[in-house]
Amino acid sequence: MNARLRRLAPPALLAAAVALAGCPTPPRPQELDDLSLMLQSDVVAQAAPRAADTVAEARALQAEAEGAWEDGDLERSARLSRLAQVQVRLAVALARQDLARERQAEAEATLAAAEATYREIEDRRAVLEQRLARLWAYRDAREALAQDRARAVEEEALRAARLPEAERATWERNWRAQAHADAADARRTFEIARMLGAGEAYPEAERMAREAIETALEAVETSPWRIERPLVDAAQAQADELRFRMLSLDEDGGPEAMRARVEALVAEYRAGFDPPFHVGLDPRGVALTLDAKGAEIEVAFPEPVATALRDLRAKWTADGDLLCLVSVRSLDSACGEGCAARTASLARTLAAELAGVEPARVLTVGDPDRPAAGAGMPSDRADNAARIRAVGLGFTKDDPPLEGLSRTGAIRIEIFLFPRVRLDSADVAATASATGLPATEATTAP
Amino acid sequence: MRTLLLTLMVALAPRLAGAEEPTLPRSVAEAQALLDRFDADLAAYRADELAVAAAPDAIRQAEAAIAEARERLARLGVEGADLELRRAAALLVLIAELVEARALERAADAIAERVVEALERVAVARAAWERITEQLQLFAIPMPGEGGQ
Repeated sequence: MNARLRRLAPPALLAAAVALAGCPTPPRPQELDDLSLMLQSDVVAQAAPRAADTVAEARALQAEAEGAWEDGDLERSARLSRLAQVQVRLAVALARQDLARERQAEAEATLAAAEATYREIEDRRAVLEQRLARLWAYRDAREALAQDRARAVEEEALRAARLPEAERATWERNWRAQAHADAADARRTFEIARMLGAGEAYPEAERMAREAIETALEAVETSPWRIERPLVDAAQAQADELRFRMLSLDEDGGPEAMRARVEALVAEYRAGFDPPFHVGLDPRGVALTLDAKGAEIEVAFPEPVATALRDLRAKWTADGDLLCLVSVRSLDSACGEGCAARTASLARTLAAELAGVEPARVLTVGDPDRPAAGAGMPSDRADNAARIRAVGLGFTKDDPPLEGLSRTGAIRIEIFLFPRVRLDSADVAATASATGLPATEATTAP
Repeated sequence: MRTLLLTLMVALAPRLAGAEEPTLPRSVAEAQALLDRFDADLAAYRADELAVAAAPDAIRQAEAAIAEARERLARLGVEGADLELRRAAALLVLIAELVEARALERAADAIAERVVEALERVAVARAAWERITEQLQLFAIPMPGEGGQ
């Protein structure tokens, strides 16, 4: 039975009853039928929750109109129906208002969110533009240095060419040793930049610097002496720039704030560590240098290393914001094969002592076995292990040890402490966007 | 509108009083005065472009309802014109609510347009931001003569 038949059924039954009773069937007013159709429409069904009272009034009038028809008062039934129809239309108008208010509120919220996002993106863009400008300035300065350097290398090569054979061999050895030392420094600088998060913020720059350093390290072992120098210079430049990029983040309060922080750090550590510990300024933090005998460290920690490490451990672990890179290189030219692995092992031992964890927990550069991140450790020690790294540089250059230590088995320990960079999520999101990876942020978020 | 309050009272009288029967004018003269005010309201609506656009059918029906009420009032008195008086009042309320609904819908539409514009601005800013991000990444590639080459 369709809707109209269902609607008409009760009146039809009534008409049948009246006919059976011998009375004439009263005609149903058209207005009443129209009203029924209106009240059964989808529009009214949708409007009813938003204008319940008005719809209820219309239905009450409909009941009155039905009653009047049943009483045979067709004119009153039609008049009531017309009044009820107006009520139905009023209900729809009120529902429209309610819906419009709702839409407006939603649109205003979306608008506010979009405007906030716009401001945020613009602010971030300004920061990035500033970074780009700083990088250009850095490149300009570096370009000038590189030209000076190239001229000096050329002059040095000409001077070497005029040396007698025996002197030239010595000169060449020294030249290579310097290149080796510089390549090792580049690698260490690169590790500092990586610890600061360069890989997340600038993956492409990080990749290129890594390749340049690998090439330079390989070249210092194998290439003719005039070939390796430009490669080492390029590696140093790339590593320095990568570290510079991590200096110029506004999340740290800008370069000026970072400089002030680093200077305060150096002053603090200078006051706490006496010779033979040497405390110096590194572009990104503080560098503590100490010469010792590698064999002794392998067995135990002799004085003054033991005291220095204990003091340093107390100081460093108290400041959860400081990252640490422990670098070891040999000062003994007879270090021989496996020198790089030995220095790496010593660096790892020292880093483990400093962080108060097992050596296996320390991430060592070049070691294919990554330590399990903090598993099974108290949280403070896990945090220490997460912010320390070790690197062994092997034998680089024939430097004399400090404080009259003999060269045999001597190593140089360098401990770099530097404030971590608070990488903004936008830095990583920007990276994802620029490298074509899917951005995870919401549509309106930067 | 001048008599909107009165109109509302007549239209909503049963609801306000909680009674079955609406409060009606007490005399024919009073009912005619009320209808005169309805006419004045209706004239104002007819002169209002927004109202004509928002409720053309309700305006025509109100006009007819007022005329019908006048005719029944003359013929049958206040009680005979009760439903027409209520219908005329309800139609005037309907016109007011339709005008209000249209105004609210226009306001919502206007905000929605601003949302579209704002989202477009966000898209443009985002594209600029992505460009500069990309520049920062590509900056790793040294320019000729750079990087100690």
